[in-house]
Amino acid sequence: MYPSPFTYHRPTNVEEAVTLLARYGDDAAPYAGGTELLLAMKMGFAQYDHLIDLKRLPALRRIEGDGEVLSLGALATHAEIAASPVVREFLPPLATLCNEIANARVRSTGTIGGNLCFAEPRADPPTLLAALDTRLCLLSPRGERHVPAGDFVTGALETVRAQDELLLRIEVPLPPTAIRYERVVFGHRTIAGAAAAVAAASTRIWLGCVALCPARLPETEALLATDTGAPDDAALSETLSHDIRALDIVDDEDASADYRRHLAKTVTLRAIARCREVMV
Amino acid sequence: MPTTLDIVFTLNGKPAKATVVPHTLLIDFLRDAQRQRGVKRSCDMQVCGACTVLVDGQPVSSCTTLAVDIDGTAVTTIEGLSDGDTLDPVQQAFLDHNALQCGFCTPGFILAAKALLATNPTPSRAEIVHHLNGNLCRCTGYHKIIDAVESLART
Repeated sequence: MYPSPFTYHRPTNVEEAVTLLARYGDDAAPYAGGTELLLAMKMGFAQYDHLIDLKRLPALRRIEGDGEVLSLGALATHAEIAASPVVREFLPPLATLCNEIANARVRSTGTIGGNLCFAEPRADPPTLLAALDTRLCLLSPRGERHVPAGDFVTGALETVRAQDELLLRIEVPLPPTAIRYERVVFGHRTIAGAAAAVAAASTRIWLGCVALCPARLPETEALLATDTGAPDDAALSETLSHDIRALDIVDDEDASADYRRHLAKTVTLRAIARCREVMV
Repeated sequence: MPTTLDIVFTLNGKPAKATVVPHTLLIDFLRDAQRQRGVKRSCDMQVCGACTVLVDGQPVSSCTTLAVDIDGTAVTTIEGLSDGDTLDPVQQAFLDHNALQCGFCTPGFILAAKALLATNPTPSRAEIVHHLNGNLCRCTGYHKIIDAVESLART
């Protein structure tokens, strides 16, 4: 399998990359790690006349944290995030997740920004980042704008990113009191993943890899947020089931929709329970 | 915009340069233009690890990497490991532990193991399994492969 021919651009700074994206519009794709893009191009699912190589923009690779905000450059690789002392100190679940994505080769090449922008429904990071109230910083010729990670992915391979927008940074506010991401992997892909983030002021429960994009579980969040103490198991189970029933669950060769609903509930309960262990 | 790109890199320690068309995959460039036939094509979708090479010490799937990506880097293939008849320690460990059967996956496993040991000279057995779980051996000789890598882990 070979990608079809394209013109290769190697911008030397972020502004130049944005200019190129704006110039070529739908005919261009930003080239980050390429682990998903090249595969899609090889298989004929995607074809672009122009590839804008972002790999050589060190400004996009920086990982920084100051105890209040963890900032991940969009081109930081999964391996770099997994090994980053800053991520390991301030957000260990993200380091753990990035160390478990795909395989060592994909981790050393694939980027967190590419993962978000490609919006593969089985990707894990979008769900965890959504639960962390992450904001994404995008640059276009119109300037910079910020989008909550939970609003970014809108469907299978679909995001709110405009064609001429470049994802620059992923900013995670720190630190929630407890965070867990739990998933079930079948073969090489996740078939259900749940993120629970519990903080004094808020509780976030997001479910991923079961619908076409990460989904918030509002009733479960509300139940857990009440200050009348922990809900009993029956109430939690019923509310969670209600939230999951409201979702359009994928039914495919890896898992039936019913099985995914079952797994979704299991991983979500697990993520909540593990968060509570930390809270006690 | 030029239709070809000049790239400069080192291949197994030796300086090299080439002119490539941008959509050339690294696996084809290495196998055909650079005659590195130890780079194996198998799944062609970065799942099996047979095409693993090291780029600046990092393991990559050459089947899903562009040749232009190695511009300015140091590339290592299985051909670059031994020094004449003296095998690299990882190669020797695979030999000592009978960690290969048909041998098709072996270059990828050895390069993946080298990448692991370079960043973590003391991996636990669990860490070795985790790091190698993206390399597939159709002969299913995993235990001996893991034994071989474990024998190199400094304690």
